[in-house]
Amino acid sequence: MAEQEIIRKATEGNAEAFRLIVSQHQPLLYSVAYRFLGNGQDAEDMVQEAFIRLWKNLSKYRADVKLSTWLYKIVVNLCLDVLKSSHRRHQENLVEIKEKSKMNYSSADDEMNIRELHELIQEAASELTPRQKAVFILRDLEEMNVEEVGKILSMSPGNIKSNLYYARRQMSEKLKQYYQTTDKITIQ
Amino acid sequence: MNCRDFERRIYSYEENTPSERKLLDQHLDHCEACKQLAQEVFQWQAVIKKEAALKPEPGSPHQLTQRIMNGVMKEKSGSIIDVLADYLDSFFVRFAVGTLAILLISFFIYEQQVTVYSSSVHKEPTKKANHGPVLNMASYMRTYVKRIENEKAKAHTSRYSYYKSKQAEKNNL
Ligand SMILES: [Zn+2]
Repeated sequence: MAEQEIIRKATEGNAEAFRLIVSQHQPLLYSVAYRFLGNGQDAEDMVQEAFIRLWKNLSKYRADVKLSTWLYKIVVNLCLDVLKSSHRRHQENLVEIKEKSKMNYSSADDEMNIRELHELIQEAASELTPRQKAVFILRDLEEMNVEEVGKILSMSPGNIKSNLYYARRQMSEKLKQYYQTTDKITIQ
Repeated sequence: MNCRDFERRIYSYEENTPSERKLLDQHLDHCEACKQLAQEVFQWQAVIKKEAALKPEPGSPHQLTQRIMNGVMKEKSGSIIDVLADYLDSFFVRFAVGTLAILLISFFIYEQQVTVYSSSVHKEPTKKANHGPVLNMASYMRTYVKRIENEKAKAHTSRYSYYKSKQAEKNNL
């Protein structure tokens, strides 16, 4: 079934059509939500809330925007609200990552180094402003193009580049500090 | 353009337009400081790409889908009541309920009026005004006048019978 057909059926209240949308887009949304919030439970809650909002507003959906872009917009705005309101301590998140994240490591010996890198990046990113963090996650971690990031965050390309500059500079400085003080991780 | 301007372009190397990138590449060929910064920045970006390659996944995608659908179905079952509540809350319904209320009140008042009129037609006429001690003057006066008239009549009768008896005495003499 084509996506537009699935969306049309879901708009008419067809739960099975909506389930198809959920199973197709859920991994992308989870990835974004996890990178924002740093723990699996919060990410799952956020993804569920995003789909409930989609369900309620499906009749307002217009085909000139990709459904994935619309969904990203919903989940990113929900995550930004959480970041702006809670000012949560990043240490709190790091504990959660160890317990709940499931990353697809290619081999066991990679795992330690990569986990350490993951925690380092989470920690450094938690010090960015919500906007910088959003741009960094979507552009550098989710590897979206500037145009799509602009649509999701309602930002101009110039604004995105400016936020990227500050985010990347801060991330680079944090990584540099870490690698200068430890020799635990080797980067090939 | 100075090194400070190029610094920004080094951090957003991939986002530069082809002409911006060409200008930057030309500068990097001649400026050792910027070249060193660029190498460092590209190295950290390569590290970040490693993180990007690791996609966080939910513990159980199937369970998450089921959980999401349960949440959505809860919304769906609640939505009939919501739709009804929204409908009842609409301007049209508020207006209709208001109009109905006014109609009922008008009808009630009209009913009251009809009862008053109909009771004056079908029931015994009330004499409330005549029952009071002050307002029964006419009725009191009527009986008083009657009594006076009776007394006058009696007096007349008695005078007449006195006259008759006197006449009879005169005739007898
Ligand atoms: Zn320079």
